[in-house]
Amino acid sequence: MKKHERYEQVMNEMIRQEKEISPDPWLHSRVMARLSKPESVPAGWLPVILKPALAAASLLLVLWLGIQTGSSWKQEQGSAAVVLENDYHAEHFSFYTQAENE
Amino acid sequence: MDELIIIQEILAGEQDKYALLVKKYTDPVFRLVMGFVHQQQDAEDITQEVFIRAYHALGRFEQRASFSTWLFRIAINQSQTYIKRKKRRAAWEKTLAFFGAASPAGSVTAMLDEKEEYRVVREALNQLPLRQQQAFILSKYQEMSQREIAGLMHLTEGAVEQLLMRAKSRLRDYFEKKSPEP
Repeated sequence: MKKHERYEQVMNEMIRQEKEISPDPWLHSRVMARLSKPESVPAGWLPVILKPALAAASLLLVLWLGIQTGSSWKQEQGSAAVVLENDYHAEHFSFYTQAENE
Repeated sequence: MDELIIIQEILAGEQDKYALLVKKYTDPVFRLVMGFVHQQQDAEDITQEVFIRAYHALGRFEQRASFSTWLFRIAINQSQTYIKRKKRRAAWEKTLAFFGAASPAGSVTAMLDEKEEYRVVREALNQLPLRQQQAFILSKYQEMSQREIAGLMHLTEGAVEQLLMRAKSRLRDYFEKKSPEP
């Protein structure tokens, strides 16, 4: 027997055996059960566009919130500087040496 | 009942009628898929997926070919997608095993259990170019004539004959290489 003929015999036998295998007799029930579930509906074009759009919108929202937070913090710093300026006059030595303040 | 009438009724909303088509074509689709994957459980999962996809694509069935031809095309695409995914997974597992991150024990056990010769035959079939593999499996597993294969694959009968001859030649060469020296 030629070298490849043995494998060809094995191949034919394997094909014969595999053709005799029967699938699960209730496979049609499994198919129909899956089709009756809502999630069996495959993703259409809307979710394909919606997901990246939602991701982009979330990113923009986070950026906007960050900018708003930073802007409000600067305003608070401005009012604190006015208080410091007043403190300077109270701590200046000349304030205590002026005769009219005694 | 005529298949086209059943399909029209399904598209009109009678989903239950689809079970008639599923029952009729489960065996031939399963047999075709087995030719690609050679594992019963995987073939059942893919067969189920074929019918799910066919149902949702039923509105696009243009009736230029028979329903069975259209269904077999979906089955071939799904089977070959599965094979590509399996090859990628096997390559990834080999990489992990190389770095000691994963043990290939599962695959080694499977290899020990099955006959070496059957493994060689499956490898031989999987290494065929896609179109040769399709033609060969349709011929051997579905016992389709060259004319039927030509219709399914959008080829001439002469082209199918060429594909089958090249497939057989390629398989022979593969077996020659794998056969031990006398």
